[in-house]
Amino acid sequence: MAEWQPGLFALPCGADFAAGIAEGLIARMAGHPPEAMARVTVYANASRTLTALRDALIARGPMLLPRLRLVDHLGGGALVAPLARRLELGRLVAAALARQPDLAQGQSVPRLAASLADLMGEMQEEGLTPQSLDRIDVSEHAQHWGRALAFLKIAADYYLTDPPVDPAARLRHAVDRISADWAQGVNLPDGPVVVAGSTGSRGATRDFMRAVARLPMGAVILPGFDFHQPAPVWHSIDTRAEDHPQSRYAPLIAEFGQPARWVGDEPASLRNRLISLALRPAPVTDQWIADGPGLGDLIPATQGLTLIEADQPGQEAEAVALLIRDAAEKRQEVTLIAADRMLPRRVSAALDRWRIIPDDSAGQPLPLTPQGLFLSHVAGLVGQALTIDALVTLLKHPVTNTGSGAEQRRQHQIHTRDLELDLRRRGPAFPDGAALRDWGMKRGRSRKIWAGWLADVLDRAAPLALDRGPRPLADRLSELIDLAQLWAAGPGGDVQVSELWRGEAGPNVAASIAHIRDHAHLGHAMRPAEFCDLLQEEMQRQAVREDVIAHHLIHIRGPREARTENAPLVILAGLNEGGWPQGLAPDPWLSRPMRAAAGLTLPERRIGLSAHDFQQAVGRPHVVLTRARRDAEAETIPSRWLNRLTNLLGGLPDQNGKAALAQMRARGRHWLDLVALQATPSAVIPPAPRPSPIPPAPALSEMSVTDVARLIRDPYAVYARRVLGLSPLPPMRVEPDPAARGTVLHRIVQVFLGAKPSASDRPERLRQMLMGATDQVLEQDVPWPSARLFWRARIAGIADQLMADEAARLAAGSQPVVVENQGRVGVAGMDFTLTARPDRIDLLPDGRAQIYDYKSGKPPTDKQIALFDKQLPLEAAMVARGGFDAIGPVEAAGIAFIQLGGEGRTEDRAFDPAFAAETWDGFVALIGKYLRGERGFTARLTMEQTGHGSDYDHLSRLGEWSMTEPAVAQPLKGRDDG
Amino acid sequence: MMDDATRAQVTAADPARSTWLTANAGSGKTRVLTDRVARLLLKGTAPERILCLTYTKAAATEMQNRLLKRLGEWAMLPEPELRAQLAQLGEGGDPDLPAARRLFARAIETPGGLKVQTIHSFCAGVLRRFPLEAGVPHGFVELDDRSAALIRSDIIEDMARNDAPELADLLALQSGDSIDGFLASLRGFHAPADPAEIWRRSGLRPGQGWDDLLRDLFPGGKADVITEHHSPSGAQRRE
Repeated sequence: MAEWQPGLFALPCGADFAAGIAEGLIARMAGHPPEAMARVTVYANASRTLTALRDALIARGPMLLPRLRLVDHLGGGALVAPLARRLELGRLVAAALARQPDLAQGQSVPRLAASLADLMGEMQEEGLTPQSLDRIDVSEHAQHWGRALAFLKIAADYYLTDPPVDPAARLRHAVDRISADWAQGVNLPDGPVVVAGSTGSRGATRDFMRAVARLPMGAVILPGFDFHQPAPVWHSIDTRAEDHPQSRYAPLIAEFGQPARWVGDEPASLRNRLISLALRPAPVTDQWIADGPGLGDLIPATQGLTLIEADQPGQEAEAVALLIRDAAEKRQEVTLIAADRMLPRRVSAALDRWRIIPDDSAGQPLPLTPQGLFLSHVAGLVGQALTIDALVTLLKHPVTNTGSGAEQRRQHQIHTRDLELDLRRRGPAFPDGAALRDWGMKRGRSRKIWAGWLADVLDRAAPLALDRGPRPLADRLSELIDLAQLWAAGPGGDVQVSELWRGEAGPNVAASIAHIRDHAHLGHAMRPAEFCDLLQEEMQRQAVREDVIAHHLIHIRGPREARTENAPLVILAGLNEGGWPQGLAPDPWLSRPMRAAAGLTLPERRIGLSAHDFQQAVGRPHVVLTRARRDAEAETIPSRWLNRLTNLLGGLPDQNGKAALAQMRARGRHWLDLVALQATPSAVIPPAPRPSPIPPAPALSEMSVTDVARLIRDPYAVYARRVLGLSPLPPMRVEPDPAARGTVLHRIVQVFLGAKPSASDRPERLRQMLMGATDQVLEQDVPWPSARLFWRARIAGIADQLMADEAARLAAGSQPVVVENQGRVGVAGMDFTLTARPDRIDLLPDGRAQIYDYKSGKPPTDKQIALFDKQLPLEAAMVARGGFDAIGPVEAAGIAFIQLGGEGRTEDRAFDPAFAAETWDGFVALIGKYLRGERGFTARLTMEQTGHGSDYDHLSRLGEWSMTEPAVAQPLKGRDDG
Repeated sequence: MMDDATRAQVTAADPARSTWLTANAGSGKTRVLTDRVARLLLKGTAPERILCLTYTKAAATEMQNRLLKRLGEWAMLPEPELRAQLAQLGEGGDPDLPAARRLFARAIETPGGLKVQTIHSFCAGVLRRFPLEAGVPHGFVELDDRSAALIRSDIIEDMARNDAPELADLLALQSGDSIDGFLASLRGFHAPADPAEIWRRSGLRPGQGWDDLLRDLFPGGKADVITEHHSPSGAQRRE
């Protein structure tokens, strides 16, 4: 192999990397027999590179392939599972926190341990020891540093001492051994060795590359090398310029000189020169104005570049989708490269319009798969009382009750729907086994079996609600699995048939769980939240790719995969600061100077890697750069590389820089115009008018007095509820809100009056009866402990006043005769009945009636009663017409409100019998108009405040009409008419 | 050469003085701020040592974009125009033109990013950098209002279920109508109450009790009048 030139080589940006390597390799082995190729070993940074290289070699004809290896495998991988290491570290950290309780404020040990383990991995790669931490000068940071240092010392002693068991440490160890051997000419490989596709950003990899470059038959091929960068610039890229795309090559250049070209041509030479100048490191950018003219005419350099600057991220995604569709139609291969995940998701959703499924290399992280979410829900049952919404969420989950086949699952869904409706209407707020069994009694065998199964599961889960303290990891895990399997299997079902461990993600989730179980004995005693964190962390490390048939020409990739992508059209999307480049999370352990002193890389290195991904991708023949000018909250800041490029182009008008930029934007605007065109609806639908329906007469046959206020304020609500029969669905999460409180307080009064207090009872005895009623009702009807306390305190606070007034009333001979009994009065001349269920009507000694209403909030004023709150005057009119059997037709003496809050006072309101009669006549006139169809049930006729909502605002299409619009009556035909 | 308004802007943007600036909308406040930062950078301050705090995210990104646009212009302006612009800033004399041209890339590449941010995000960043020292959990997420309300109501439920004695005090103060608003507004109660301090601020002697106080106020033994009508029943006094 005399012709083999060892040393440092490189391929330019924008080249088809795998094809370039294959070409160069074949050219160098051209004069040799075929088996010589089989003795070549190629090391790559990632399996994707190896796959691309293998495909590129095979595409060039039949041959014996070289040995294709990953650099990472030099170390042999991990000797001990990383999870085991993290759990042991977690135990040490938990012990340290226990010794210093003020540090333990809400810390999640699995999170702490994972963060420490990552830092230790970095230190292992750079070959650091625990003593490296001592190199940091603490004089300025002494106080801050002390606490973090304690934890770092624990982690360092555990991770950085011999012998190496972690993958990073083993790789380091192996590379050191190999380098030492080769330097002494020992254990030399038998054929050429090539390292391809690696930038040498990690210490161990870089040292391996250096060792290979020194071999007589070694070659290191750098991807995306900038051949246009002059030597002075290379010198100026020191260790502080970590964010420069070529910065990781600087030490290699310093050691080995400029790399030679692996293959001769550089197709994107003009473009690369422009980009190279645009990305120069900051200290030399004052030369832009001097070096710019050297680029010549900029139009050819930007020929294949398009710039799309959308107003919103949604628009950006639509534009990208249109681009991709166009490429697919022209049978052109296209790759979308995006750093944040939101954009590809939007683009995939937009492509679904045309049933195009792109080939997306990112999978779904395990915690977001159905099985992952299912386990999170089950784990979330621990430490909390079960609410209706948590129960329904689990019941509706696609994994639940799938152990007996599809028919059983359908039945399950029907039962779930029935149960949900009943729970919403009637509760209990915290369902348990007993409640389920009662519910199951009601309708048939199928429901009884299902309810019995569910009751068993709830009984099983009930004790877990109180489990808040630390418990061994193994116990928690086995409990979780048992409970999850019960849920998934269903009544009489088989968990192996269910969806829990099957499907796309099921086996991965099962493997994750089994992995944790194998090492569970190493963990510390965990609280429920820490256990959930651990599960989440473990599952997050895996992603599951969807098993679908994707379009073979459309790819979605992450930036790190840019170097192996060879599609002629590349879309670089989401080019905003914080997106691409991604924002750097603040380092919770070490500041920048501390990292540098310890020998670690700076966080800017990640930006440098990102910049390199960008530089390689932007050299492709056709590139579309896209960004959104705004996100949900504010303007965005363009990606720094795009900013540099546009600024450079805009500042070189003499070389057509401005014109080139304008052309880039014009090409982009074409796609944005298409997006706007696509978004324009083809037909214009006029907005709905303000509804005022007139249903076929007669609309109603009866109404309650409490509805009368609503009839005056918002007739449409009465129409929707009474004529259409639509009631709002009660909320799933029942809260002890003011409405519930009002109901309970009324019930307390009802029970109190039901015990028939008499004039002979002293106020203390009355108080006792009231509190007794309170305790009874709270026990029966109110499951929330806090609500019980507060509502009891409310009654207790006003009990004295209430009972004093009550005693006075009883002493005066007032006798409650109607307590929540229904009364009815027919309206003369119409088939209509007015009903009422008054809180209380007393019979006075003089034979007249006194009407009371209990109010948990503020009672209405005289003016409000005069205008619309007609409940009590109408009740008085009904009493006068003998609507209540218990009391016969008597005149009303007065109306009063008793407050169940505030000071508990009784407040009289202005009243005389003429007022009651007037109110009755007014009501008859009003309802007559509606019944005869002379008046429409207008929406929001006279609301008290324009901001007040109605349950039926959506139904009435509020928003398409405004309250300043006059209502137009809409007569509706009945079923028998035309 | 300069009108009064411009001269006022230039004075306000002088980084050597601390300035309190009020101005009407649209009169160029953001311009003054970006000028000030630009002048600081020109004088040699490292970009990572400058902190700009705003109230809204929109203001933060707008200001950063405007600053970068300005510095970007400087990088590419021919010499006479650049001198004129710097002179307008108040940096006449002999400014270092290459240094001015380098500012664009330097600002873009600021380690950690140019710190133009909302007060909220600045504070969150500080807490994330020093979680142990600040006593916050590693990798915390900020609570949104709804989650915070749910957690508060869970805490009250727990206290009620376990008959916590503090709830009696809470009931005396709150009727339960806007309990969440009340709880959300509680601040400054991290440390446990110090009776000695409370006594001192109320003008009481250390350890002075109710009877002692009455005796002090009514030395002649007339304290009985008070005790009859206003006994402190119902309120639990904590020692």
